[in-house]
Amino acid sequence: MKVTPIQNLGQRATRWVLELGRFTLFTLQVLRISTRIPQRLRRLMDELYGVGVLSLAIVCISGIAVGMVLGLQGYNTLVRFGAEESLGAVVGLSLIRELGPVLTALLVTGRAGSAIAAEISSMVVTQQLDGLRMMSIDPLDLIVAPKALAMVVAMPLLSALFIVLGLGGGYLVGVFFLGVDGGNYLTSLEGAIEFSSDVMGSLIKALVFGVLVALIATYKGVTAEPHSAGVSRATTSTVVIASVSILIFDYFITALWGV
Amino acid sequence: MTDETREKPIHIEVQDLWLRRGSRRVFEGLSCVFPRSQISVVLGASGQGKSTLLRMIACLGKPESGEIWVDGETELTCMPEHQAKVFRRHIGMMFQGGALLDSMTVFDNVALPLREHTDMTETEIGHEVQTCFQSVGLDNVGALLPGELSGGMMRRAALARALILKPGILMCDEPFSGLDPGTVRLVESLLVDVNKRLGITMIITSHHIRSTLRMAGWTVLLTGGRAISSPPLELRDNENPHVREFFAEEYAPQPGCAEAKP
Repeated sequence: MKVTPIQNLGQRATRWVLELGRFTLFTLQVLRISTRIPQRLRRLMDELYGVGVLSLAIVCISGIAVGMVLGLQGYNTLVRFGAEESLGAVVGLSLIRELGPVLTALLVTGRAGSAIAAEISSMVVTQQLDGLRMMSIDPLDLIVAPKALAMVVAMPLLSALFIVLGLGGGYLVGVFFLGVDGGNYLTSLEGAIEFSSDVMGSLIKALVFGVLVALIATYKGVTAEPHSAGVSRATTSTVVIASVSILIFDYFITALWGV
Repeated sequence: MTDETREKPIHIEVQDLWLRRGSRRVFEGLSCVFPRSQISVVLGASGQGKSTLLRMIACLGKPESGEIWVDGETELTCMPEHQAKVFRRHIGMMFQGGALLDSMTVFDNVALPLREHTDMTETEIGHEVQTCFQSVGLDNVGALLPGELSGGMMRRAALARALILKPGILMCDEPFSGLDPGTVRLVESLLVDVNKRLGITMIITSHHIRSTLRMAGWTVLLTGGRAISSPPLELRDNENPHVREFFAEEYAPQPGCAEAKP
């Protein structure tokens, strides 16, 4: 039977709505199960190591590099207006309000989000999740919830570290290489940043991104097709969907709450 | 399980199962029984739905229509997930690839059901797991990861995990595939020993005709979406064309065998 473009569009829309429904149910199940996490504290610690500690190197190096670039670019722009003493404020605001949470989320998606999707989808291929179900153990409880929660906990912490190291990178370039006064750098930074709106907003952004990456990575892993191509598809789609979602959510959080 | 159900000779009864995968019909009114405390082997060519049948008995999949009865009292196809979860505690399943969690040691894999479902202390769990290891002939493998085991050891570890909660039904999905003849004999004798010792109902899917004839008390051949059931020797001598075709193919000499002889 020939499928018309309209039918094709309808089928795609139906599939998309079904997928959204499944994802919503999955989210609710994970949220419900996450309340039982104190019983899985040991597994949560193991996952925190995998998501958090193993992401430290990439976050630290990127944080310093981004801070140094911001210091350099900021100085070159500010010096035209004779406002180079405000370098601390420019670097700080850029990092805290925007670049810190967004870049950390993108980095962690690439490193830990993809790893979570690959690990869970490999477990689907090798029937490990079915093995758990056969022992009356819910895979969402034993495998998914600790991974998801570890991501949610680790993301704001990694983002904070990224920001602190970025501020250090900006200081390094501004003060030691370009001759900006260290006191002015810190004073302008302190004067420009408000704890309640800027810092808390930044942490909330990182938390939202953590929830997004956690849910997308675990959902893609659990629903992977049980063959090797399914693993690669789950991993790739996790990185693509999570990255795009982070940027879209970033816009809406900034537009709606001014964070 | 009551004394009355213990005496029933039929443990599991599958009635008129229908299932379609895309455009292909997997089951077309499949009906069969699995006798209590016996080893039943499910035979059939690839794609005939042997593993799918096991998954349905384990409530891991649902047919389009049909019923699966346990002890003539519990119907599985309509069972909600929370009840299926409780029911699965009475079933052990040995998956084809073992399905052990590769991030845990063999000991932790086998101990996992005890940690999840019992109030046993770690000492008691350790004792129970060691006893189970001994019963399947495993020694000094507790600290290894599943990836460090050989094929035969992996099957035995999977068997240990399937048996640790002392199930009433044990299902094994292709326990002999990919094993050398010696290891096939070893796993086979292990399964027979477990059946004799514990008296549990065993359902095994297999392509391996010789081991089936040696160990099975009951056979179910899946062909064309339906099942032909009988004791193994009767099945071998069955005049049904599908049965003859299956046995003829399994016993046919492999291409190139004659030329390889000196």
